[in-house]
Amino acid sequence: MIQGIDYAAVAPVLLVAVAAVLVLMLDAFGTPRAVLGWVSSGALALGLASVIALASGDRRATFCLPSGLRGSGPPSCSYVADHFTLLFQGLVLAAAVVVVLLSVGEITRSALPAGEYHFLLLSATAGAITLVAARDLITLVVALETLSLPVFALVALRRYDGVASEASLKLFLVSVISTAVMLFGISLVYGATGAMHLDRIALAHVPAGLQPVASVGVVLVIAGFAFKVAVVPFHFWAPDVYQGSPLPVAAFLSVISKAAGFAGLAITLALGFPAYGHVWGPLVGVLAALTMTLGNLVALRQRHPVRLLAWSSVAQSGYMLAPLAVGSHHLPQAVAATVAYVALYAVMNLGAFAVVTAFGRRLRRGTASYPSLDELADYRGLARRSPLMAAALAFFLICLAGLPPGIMGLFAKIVVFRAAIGGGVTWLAVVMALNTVIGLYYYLAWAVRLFAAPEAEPYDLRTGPAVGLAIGVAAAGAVVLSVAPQIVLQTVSIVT
Amino acid sequence: MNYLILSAILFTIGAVGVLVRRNAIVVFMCVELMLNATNLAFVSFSHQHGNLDGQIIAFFVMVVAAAEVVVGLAIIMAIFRSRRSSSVDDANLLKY
Repeated sequence: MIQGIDYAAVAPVLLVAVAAVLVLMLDAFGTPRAVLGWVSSGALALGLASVIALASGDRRATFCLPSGLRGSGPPSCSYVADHFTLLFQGLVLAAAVVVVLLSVGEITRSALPAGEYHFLLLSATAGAITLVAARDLITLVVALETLSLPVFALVALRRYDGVASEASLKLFLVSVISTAVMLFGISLVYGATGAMHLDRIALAHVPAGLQPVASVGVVLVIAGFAFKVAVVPFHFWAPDVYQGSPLPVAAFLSVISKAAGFAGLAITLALGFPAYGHVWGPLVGVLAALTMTLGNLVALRQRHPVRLLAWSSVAQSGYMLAPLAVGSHHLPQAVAATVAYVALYAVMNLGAFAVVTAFGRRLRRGTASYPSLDELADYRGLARRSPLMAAALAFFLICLAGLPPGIMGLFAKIVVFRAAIGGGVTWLAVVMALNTVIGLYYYLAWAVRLFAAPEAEPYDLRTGPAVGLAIGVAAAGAVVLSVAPQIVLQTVSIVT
Repeated sequence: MNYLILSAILFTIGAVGVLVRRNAIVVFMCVELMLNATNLAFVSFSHQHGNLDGQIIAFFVMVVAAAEVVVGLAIIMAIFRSRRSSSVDDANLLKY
């Protein structure tokens, strides 16, 4: 029996995957680096266009169970392009375009192999956009691995640098262990329910004796995703890896990987395991509280901007996880809050990474050498040297802190608060409020440094058009969403 | 049922090995043991339920494990070249 494939539904993934192979081939025939960058960003833009075209149509599903095998059960499709999927695919592809823009200068600066870099980046992106469309556990695992494996290589691509290969080893070992744990969890869930498709797992009748087995399976699956999105206690790879990898790759990990990971977690919990809400609800609540508290407290004493962003992104993971602590009641509202927070966070965090990348490329005055490791103190006086860049960074930081005029950050936090209180986990909302106050300190301390008197040695800031464009795109997004944050809320309410 | 017990034992041996061994390659072998334990569990559950889903995922797990070996050994090689050691304790440049 031959199954029909709805090629329109899988078009974004196909485009990106074909482009990945194309880039590798072009590189083999000696195409210049600039062309590879254009091909790669063009393919991502094309994917984005196909996502937008799909969004105007109806829900599409493909790779469904044939009717002979379906019995009286649900349709059980493995790949579904509904509005939730398309929102995340759009988010991931747009963020990937910005990451490619950031990479152009980095490839030259760090002497990275351009073809391999773009190939790995596109492969990982293809994994991310498959992950958000997956509706059965097999597709989910394979997509998660397609997202993770290229990233190990991306992190290690600076082969001459011992720090990069060490960061990669840490990421790799933690990742494969969490994959193994997650697979064991899946095997237990499968053993208890006899199904791999999420809609069948949700409907499966599990005998009372097997309930504990299924619960352990659910917990192990959550642990696997918790690694991906850097939730305490699976967070410790994040600061080391962000520091050791090229900055655009760190941006990729903290925005695209994280968004896809949260999408996968939300899909699994909401579609597959709603019946186990009493098991994972409290667990997720405790993890969220620990994550935001530890992330914020450690971020307080960081002096290196990338490590600060890493710990702040751990803390932000806690906020994103918080709504899911409601368990199975008010679950749609909770998922909507998580989605809204992830979307807003992606814009502001990508912006912050873009400015940090641009700042890292400054040259000592009169020489062609790059300064050594950046410290937060180096940012003093940036406002006098480059007012636009300083204004952009300050705005992103204020958004991340959640203060006006960074309305988008404030708005994101309010949405999460409302979901947590509406779902009856008031204690978590209190923990979150306290954490928001802690977070204010380190974001604002950094923002204030930008406007302080300069003391470091003079330098030239020549960022290049690509990075400038990346910062501009992120800043424009942040301003638009701060003026009209209801755009996200309306989109999300349609989606979920 | 016996196969499930065997699978749980193998998974535990793998997990303990990951925690106590210090050589990156041995840690990696223990992860492979964990993956193979899950494969055994998948196949025996598949036999119990009488459907093929578990056998299909076992194939995908093998593919994933093979891809992990490729990337993982490359990374360990890169570390070994710069450090002349494959012990995870020597990977200590990045610290809090």
